[in-house]
Amino acid sequence: MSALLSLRGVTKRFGGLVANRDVTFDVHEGEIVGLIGPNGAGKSTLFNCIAGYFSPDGGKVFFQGRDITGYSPEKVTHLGIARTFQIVKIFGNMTVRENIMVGAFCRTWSVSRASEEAEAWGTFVGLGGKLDYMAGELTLAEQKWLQLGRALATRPRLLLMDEVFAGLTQAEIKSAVNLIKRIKEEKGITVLIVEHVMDVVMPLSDRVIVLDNGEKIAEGKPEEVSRDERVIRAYLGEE
Amino acid sequence: MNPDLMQAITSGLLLGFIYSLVAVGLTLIWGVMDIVNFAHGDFLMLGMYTSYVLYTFFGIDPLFSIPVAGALLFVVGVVTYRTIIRRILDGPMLIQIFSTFGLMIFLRYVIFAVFKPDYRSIQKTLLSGTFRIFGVYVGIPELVAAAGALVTTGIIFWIMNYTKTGAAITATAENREAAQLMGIDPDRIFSLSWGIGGAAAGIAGALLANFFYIFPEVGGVFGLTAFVVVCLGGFGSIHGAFVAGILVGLVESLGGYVAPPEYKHIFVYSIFIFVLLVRPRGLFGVT
Amino acid sequence: MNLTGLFLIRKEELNLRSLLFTLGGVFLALAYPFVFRKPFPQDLLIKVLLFAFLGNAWNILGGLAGQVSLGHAMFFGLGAYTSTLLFLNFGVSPWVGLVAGAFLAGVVSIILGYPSFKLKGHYFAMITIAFGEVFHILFRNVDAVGGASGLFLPILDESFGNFYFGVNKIPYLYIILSFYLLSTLTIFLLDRSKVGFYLRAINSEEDAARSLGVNSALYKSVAMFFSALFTAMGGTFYAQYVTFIDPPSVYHLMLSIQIVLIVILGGVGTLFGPLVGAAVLIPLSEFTRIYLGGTGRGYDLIIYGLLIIVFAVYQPTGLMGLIRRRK
Ligand SMILES: Nc1ncnc2c1ncn2[C@@H]1O[C@H](COP(=O)(O)OP(=O)(O)O)[C@@H](O)[C@H]1O
Ligand SMILES: [Mg+2]
Repeated sequence: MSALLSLRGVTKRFGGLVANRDVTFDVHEGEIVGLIGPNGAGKSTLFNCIAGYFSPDGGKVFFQGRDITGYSPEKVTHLGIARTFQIVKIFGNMTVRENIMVGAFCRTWSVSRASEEAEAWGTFVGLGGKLDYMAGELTLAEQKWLQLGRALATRPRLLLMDEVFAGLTQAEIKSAVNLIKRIKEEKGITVLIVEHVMDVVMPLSDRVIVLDNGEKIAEGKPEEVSRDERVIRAYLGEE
Repeated sequence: MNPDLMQAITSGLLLGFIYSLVAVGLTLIWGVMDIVNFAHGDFLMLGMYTSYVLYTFFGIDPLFSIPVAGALLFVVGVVTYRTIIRRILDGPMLIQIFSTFGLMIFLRYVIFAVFKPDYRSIQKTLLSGTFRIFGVYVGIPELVAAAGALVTTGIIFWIMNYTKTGAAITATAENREAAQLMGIDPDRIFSLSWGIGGAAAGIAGALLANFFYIFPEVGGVFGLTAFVVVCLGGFGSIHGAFVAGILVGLVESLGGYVAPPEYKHIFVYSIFIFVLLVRPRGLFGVT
Repeated sequence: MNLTGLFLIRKEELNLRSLLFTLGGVFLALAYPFVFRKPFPQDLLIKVLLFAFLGNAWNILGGLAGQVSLGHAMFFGLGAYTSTLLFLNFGVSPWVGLVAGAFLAGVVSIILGYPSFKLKGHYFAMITIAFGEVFHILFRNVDAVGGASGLFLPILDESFGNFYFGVNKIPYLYIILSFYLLSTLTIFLLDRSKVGFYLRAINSEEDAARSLGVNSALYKSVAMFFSALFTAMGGTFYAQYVTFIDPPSVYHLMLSIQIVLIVILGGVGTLFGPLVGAAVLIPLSEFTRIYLGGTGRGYDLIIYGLLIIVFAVYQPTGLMGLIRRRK
């Protein structure tokens, strides 16, 4: 089985700081993969290297076998990778529907078509009743659902999510977990979740990759990884 | 060396010190609060008219008007902050731009209405005449103005680097919240920055009044040049503004030497555009 | 920034009433010169419509895409000079000149805009000032384009083909009215097309827009192209109407500022804001000029300055914001 997404030796520096060092891993079609690690491990940086916001200083990123290293964010999206932001970035002065329509326009020029898709995706992420609300009026959790719906409307093969659970209540985390499962099962979209808290990602992920100090220190099934010495130490060091 | 070239370099240097002073005031405000004062050149214009009025109606030599202009424009700066800027600090960028633009137009045309568009100058001052050195003519008012600008820039530099107030301003510029936690009142610092920025422009204007034409729109050229200097020196950097001011003075003067003088500002704007596009943090900034 | 995305007519408001309202307005404008037969009021309406048109043009870039240009006079000047020079040197019809000028301005806007779009906020605004000033200085000093003394259009036969009607202001009024309507319709359609959604998204959160596949540099260029194109049309109209152009009248920074001011006063990113802004500001400045001691005293500009400050501080959503709040 060939990989949907492959990273090969990805390195990213900020001045003297090496945020990602020689990171290599694959994500396969139909998986939910968790990318975890303590704060400052370099998860968001790696994420941005995949999504086109940073250009890696070394190494390559492949998507469906194609070298996408250094592609612009919009080009990456057109190829089938969608993302959400750790700090929510919604279009506050547009309605929920219009927010999602911007995503849907990725695949169509038709306004009515985009509007229909917005309704469908809005309903899918649980905002069906709030389609005509201004996005700025939503709660934080709803804004996170909106980011998801908007990203899904671009019809990705791979969905990248940065810290979706941060700032959510227990009940909200539960529905987020459900939603992510449905994204995989009903829509057949592969998911890469970046997360700093382990407890939620572990049961959800088919496989996890652990970053610490910019390097990959472990990879495998959740239960294996959570027993790994180095992972435990990395997380303990954080406390 | 070619005497004309020497002359151009000398005039450029002298003018450059004034540009430095004007730009230091602008960059201070900018660095501290991320607000661009489009009325900065018109603060300078007010400084010039202060000298003009004191001279014409009270017979005071422009040399002695310099501190008055500085003090007056300090007040204008503070009042501007308290009445306008404070209210738009967190507003949309367009509104921030336009509030100081509005002030620029207002100040410029109040002076226009009062003093008419005429070009004026102050004759028969204490400082006058030229001397010749190494085949180059140096105007005494120009020389004194450059020296005065240098001294004033030095004072501001000293305040910023060696006083508690300066440290508080720097701290606020770097991180408003952190400064607040350290017991610094950002509102007071902002107010003070506008005061110092205004005073710098006012003093520059009063220095210029000794030899430069005085007219309501004079601030336009100096204001735009100050933007170029600030951008070249790196936004918010005082020593950057100092060096860049001298550079821009030289470029303008040499531009007028190699090409017809009407085009000299094109050189200045071209540098501006180039720096913005290629090195947006300025020539000396870290990228 | 959250001033935008305020387009007055949202879908639910696009009903019979607003359509009748608009048609009524057009009818009033058509009938106006037959009620007000003196040159002054006719000239006033022409100027109001010209600036409403320029405000619309600016709004495409500034209001929709959120890129604040303070150099739009350069496009106005390019339009005015292109048609005038083509006519004076080659006898080309001003209508052809209008198209040529608009196209030239559009191309120039993309050449200058594309590299500048990576600059944000104040920095973009400042580079547009610099571009505008370079144009101003060049046209003031190059004798082949008239230099500082400017260019006069000769008196021609009065005809539509010549874009010249002598002292008869009615045709000018109708022409600028159709320009205005054309720009309004363009914005209306643009706003509800994919391009409009993309521009508003860029305006609101550029990074998020790009994550959804929006090529922001491309769409900003599209906005700038239309913005420049319409502005240049305004320039040609001005040249034909006034029959004299020089750098201070068509390339001055104050012209750029005046255009933006009208939009701010009316309401940034609103469909009818520029018209409202122009309808208030232009008569205001004309009347202050008349009643407060002739031209060239600058009283009108003092009021401008004060208005800008007051609106910036107290009413940043402009007059349209006031109107809507009362509903
Ligand atoms: N744009 C940037 N410039 C400089 N340093 C950065 C930048 N982004 C992140 N860093 C640094 O890179 C390291 C990794 O950050 P990040 O990828 O955000 O970690 P994580 O998402 O795992 O918490 C941190 O030390 C952070 O300070
Ligand atoms: Mg992170």
